[in-house]
Amino acid sequence: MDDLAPSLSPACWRRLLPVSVPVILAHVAFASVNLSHAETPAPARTPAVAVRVVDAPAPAPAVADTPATPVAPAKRATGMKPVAEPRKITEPTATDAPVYRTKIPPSTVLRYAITRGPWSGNGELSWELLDGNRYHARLEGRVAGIKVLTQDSTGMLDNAGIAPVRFTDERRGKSVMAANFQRSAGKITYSGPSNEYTLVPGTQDRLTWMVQIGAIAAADPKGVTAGKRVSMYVTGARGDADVWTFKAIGVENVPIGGVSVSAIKLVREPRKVNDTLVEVWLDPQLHHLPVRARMTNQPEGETFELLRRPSDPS
Amino acid sequence: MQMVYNSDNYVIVQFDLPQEGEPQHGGEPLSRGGFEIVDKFARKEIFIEGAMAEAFKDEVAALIETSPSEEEMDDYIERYTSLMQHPVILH
Repeated sequence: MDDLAPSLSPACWRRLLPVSVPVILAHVAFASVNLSHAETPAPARTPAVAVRVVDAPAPAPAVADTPATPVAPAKRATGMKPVAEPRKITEPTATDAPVYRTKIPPSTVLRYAITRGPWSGNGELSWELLDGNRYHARLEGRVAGIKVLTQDSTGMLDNAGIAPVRFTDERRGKSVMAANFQRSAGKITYSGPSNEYTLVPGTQDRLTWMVQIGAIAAADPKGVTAGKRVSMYVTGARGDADVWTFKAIGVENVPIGGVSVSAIKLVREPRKVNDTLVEVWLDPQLHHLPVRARMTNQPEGETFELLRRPSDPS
Repeated sequence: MQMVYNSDNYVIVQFDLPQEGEPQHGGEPLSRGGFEIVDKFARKEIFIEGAMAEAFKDEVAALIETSPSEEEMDDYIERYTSLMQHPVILH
């Protein structure tokens, strides 16, 4: 690997002066790893310390002083609690997916730190309301500037909240997968697998669920107090649809950039052994949109996590 | 700077490279930015920049398309360990 020969002259390091401060911060962390390591006999090659993400100096955090009451227009108001008995879900086992009152957030863009397994990067979630009753949601994830993930959802807003029409999921190096919500035919179909599922009111995709659960919480904050449950039918783009039943755990502080965000934590209760574990922390100060969300695939245990960056306006 | 990768064995930290799709200044090697690769166990590191950092980024981009396991990614990074001469604590 001659082309990989290092160029580590002193001049090389002097050129790093403009970034010397973050470098020093990073190395304090690494040095502490080293010191703790040096005091113990050299162990087998097992992880010594989990090194935490060292990020660029963050801009002053913007934490809302506004009351928790969202300012979004309350477009959806179809009564309290479940208002309709949903049709039976063909697969998996039929489970109630109630229709909830929702308070749809206004158009906004949120930036997140994204982690998937050992990888870290940046994500941007764009939520856009279009001419009254249509929306467009998009999540892009980049690692080292390389776009690795794009999820895109378009659809309408109806009495059950967000009503996706088309959801696409694109991973780098793979073809785009899509879920189509055929509302007139009452079914969900996919670009790949030939699976079909009954489309029940309130059904979400793997992007919009994050906005929908916030909209449900915003419309009825008492419905997400500790011990309460929220259920929705959620599908990905790969022929996977299932009921996600979240149990509200209570209020937890989520640190972002040195600021603590008081958030409502909900956890999906697994129904089967290998169900994806889903945890979400909703920020009442920001339309109940997630300040953090984490999905853990089973059984391999790989996690995908979003943690809001502190520079977002509230 | 931002952490890009953190496995049991290695850490990769990125320093201000332009985003994908931005102009590359006529193919000139970048004068700023790069990647620092740290071997947690050997406690050594290397900072790569310029054309080498660009090549590294391209290779990582290609690797990501194959959805590498952590072991496969670590195997790739291991190629750089022979170049690591700077103990982590020295600067």
